[in-house]
Amino acid sequence: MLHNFLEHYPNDFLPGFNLPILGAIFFAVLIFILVIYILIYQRLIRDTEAKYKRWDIIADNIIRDAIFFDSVSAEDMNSDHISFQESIRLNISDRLIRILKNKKFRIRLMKKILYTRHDVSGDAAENLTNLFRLLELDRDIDRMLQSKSWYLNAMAIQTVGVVDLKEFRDDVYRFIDNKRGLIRIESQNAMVKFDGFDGLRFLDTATYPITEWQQIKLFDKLSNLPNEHFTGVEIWLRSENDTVVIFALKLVRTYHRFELYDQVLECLKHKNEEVRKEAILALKVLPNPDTAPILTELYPKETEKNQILILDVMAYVSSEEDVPFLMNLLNEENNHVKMNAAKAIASLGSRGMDLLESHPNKGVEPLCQIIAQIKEESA
Amino acid sequence: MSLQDIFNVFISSLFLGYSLFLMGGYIFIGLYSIGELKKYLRKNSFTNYRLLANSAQAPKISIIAPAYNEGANIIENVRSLMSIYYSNLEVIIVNDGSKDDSLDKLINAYELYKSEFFVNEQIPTKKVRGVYKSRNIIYSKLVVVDKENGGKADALNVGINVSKNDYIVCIDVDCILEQDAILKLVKPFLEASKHRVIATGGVVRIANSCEVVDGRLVKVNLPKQLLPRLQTLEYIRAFLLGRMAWSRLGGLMLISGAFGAFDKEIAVKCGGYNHKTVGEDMELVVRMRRYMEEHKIPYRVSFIPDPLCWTEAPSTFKILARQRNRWTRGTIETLKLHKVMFFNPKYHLMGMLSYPYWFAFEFLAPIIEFVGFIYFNLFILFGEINVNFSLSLLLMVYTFGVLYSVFGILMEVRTYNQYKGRKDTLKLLLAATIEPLILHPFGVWHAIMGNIDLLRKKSSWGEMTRAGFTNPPKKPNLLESK
Repeated sequence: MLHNFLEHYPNDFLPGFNLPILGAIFFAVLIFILVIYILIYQRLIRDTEAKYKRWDIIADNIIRDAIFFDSVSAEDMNSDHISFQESIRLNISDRLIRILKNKKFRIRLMKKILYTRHDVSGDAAENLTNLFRLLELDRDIDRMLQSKSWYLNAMAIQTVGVVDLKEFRDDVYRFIDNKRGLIRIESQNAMVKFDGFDGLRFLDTATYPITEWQQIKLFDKLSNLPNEHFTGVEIWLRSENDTVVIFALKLVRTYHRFELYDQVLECLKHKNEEVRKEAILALKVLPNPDTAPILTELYPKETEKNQILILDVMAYVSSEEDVPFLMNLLNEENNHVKMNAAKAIASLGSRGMDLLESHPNKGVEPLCQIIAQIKEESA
Repeated sequence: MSLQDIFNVFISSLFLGYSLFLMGGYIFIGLYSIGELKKYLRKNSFTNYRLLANSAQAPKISIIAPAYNEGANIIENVRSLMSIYYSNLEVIIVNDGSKDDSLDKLINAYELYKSEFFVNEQIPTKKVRGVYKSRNIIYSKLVVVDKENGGKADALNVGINVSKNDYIVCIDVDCILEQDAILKLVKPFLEASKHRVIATGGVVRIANSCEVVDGRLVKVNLPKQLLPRLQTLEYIRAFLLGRMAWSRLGGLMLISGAFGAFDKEIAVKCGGYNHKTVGEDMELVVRMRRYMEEHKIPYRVSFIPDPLCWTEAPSTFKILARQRNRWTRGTIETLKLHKVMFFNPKYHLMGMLSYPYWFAFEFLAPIIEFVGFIYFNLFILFGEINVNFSLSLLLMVYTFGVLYSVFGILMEVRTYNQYKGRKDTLKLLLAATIEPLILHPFGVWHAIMGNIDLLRKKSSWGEMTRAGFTNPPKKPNLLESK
């Protein structure tokens, strides 16, 4: 019976064949096609890599010429002043002119200029920007910005920012709050590159989260700028976008914006735990005699994670007046709380260490080991 | 039609239906992984990882590497970990009661002293005998913990207790990491916006026959031995297709124990690694996911398709058998511990798809395959079934298996293309044709043995002997039962 079932069922599908054989043949044909494809594709990769190596030599040469072009030396050596454009034009070979028509080469060259531009500054950087325009790669940027591909959009925006193509500033700005994270991030970075701290004004209206990764990128961009008294932080500290508030608090911390102390205190009342955490951390670097009492008052209302952080900050801001509060915490169940409270007490110097040593539980675990660790660390 | 006939038809239909269901699942996974891989590679081309390595804003990371009787290579392995490109880093080596001279070697090589260190036992563990730090500022990142033997999970839990940082990276001490492995693993935590990323994992590749100098992989080679080569293919399929597709779906349940990063706060709240199971890596991820679901916190488990970690695969059937046996026991133990999630809508994708998938594809598949094989053979023996038809069915399943492997190779060639030479590709393609005949049945058999061992309450890891990358003499590895 089973024999009949298994044999007749497939035969109804195609006379003369059973279903498993058809399936096996179908899979075997697919295997054959994929194997051929893999072998041809690998061959193509090898050929392409060889071609790219040749292209890279040409691209590297022209980039090197651009980086090392020195207008002063050029002026000294020749009675007639040779401009950058003239110098580069002289170095453009027929071969380069020919392959510049190739779209793939242009993209590759664009990427090479982009990567090189990351690592250079001053005249060399400016020369690379000029080279970019001289080779009319900016035309591709125009096309890429109009493209419907998010990848091309993002690549164009990144290039505009890094290569400093200011003429595309407005085109890039329209992507500043794009729903695609990568496009948005590159656009925001480009704005900071163009306008420095003023470029951060996109934060006024940012609706999407500013991820930690983007914050790291922005800080990297800002670290290359002269430390100036930028404005806008007070607005961002009141933003409805919590990640903007967090970023603003990090700015306060990094650039020691003492005048924003009161606004930071306001953030301690924020409903988002992460915002409060950043506010507590910001207080660490804004010296103020009010900080310790404010933190001790805040302590019982906070989450366990933020309580531990408060104690960590107390090690920097506490005074004799906070000793009773801190000593009391040594009796807490949570060992992390105990450890940070002990560290805060120890931060008061020899008086702090004496207080720890005089604690009734000083010889009992875990306080005994905590004190031993603190003593060793401070030795 | 007699009752027996009806039963036979029913059982046969069940086997056929199950095979088609498995094939459908694999086809979906294969095709679904393509989009995610493409998206990752494109997005990744915009990332400057150097930025993260040097940024003061980058999160602080603790690498935790348990070691048991690793004396032969411990110095080189630790040196390799210390050279990882990341500034906010702490490297914690947990000596899990080694019987060899691992600790003495570390003390001498890295100028260690026993420090006064308070271990906050957030997760209960075996006793810590001492925490060692270096007098030499060059090794300030290094912390060595000496503890009583308690197994890998217990050692990792000690590492978590000692760790000062918010993110932990758990690795096997003898793994070889790519230079930017930590950077790539950490980035998904920083990209989270609406969801909290609780864990990330990367691709583990097989390092047998690769050239390793001073703890660094300098040349990738396809394994010369058959067994590691077949496992290479298996790893390509599992990581590049399987985990990528699950990551895209948001239902990844496993991060390799060899290399994975975790949000420490969540790991601690979940109670850390479970030392009662041999599948502690999968169990922790499942428990962390369960915790997030039960607390209604939006979360993600992320996966990086880049080859980040290279490990030595078993090269003998004996050791491979132990590994497969253990994997099976680990899977079943995890599924059993979290059976409440099975088709439970409260756990969303996890309960309705991930868990049932693991149940059907990882737990049941070898059992059904084994029983089906016996069943069909008995039918052939008793003339109840046409031999030609059975063979054609077997051929279809075989060609499908080969096709899936070839598709995996295609994805590898189109993405990372680690085995560039035509000869290597051909060898890999050849491996695809023999893998269903050797490794697969072997895996099925040892999965069955794993089931039996579990019923017999066997709970050991089984010792794994590895040849090592730099030193030819064989050495025992960290895996020992409690």
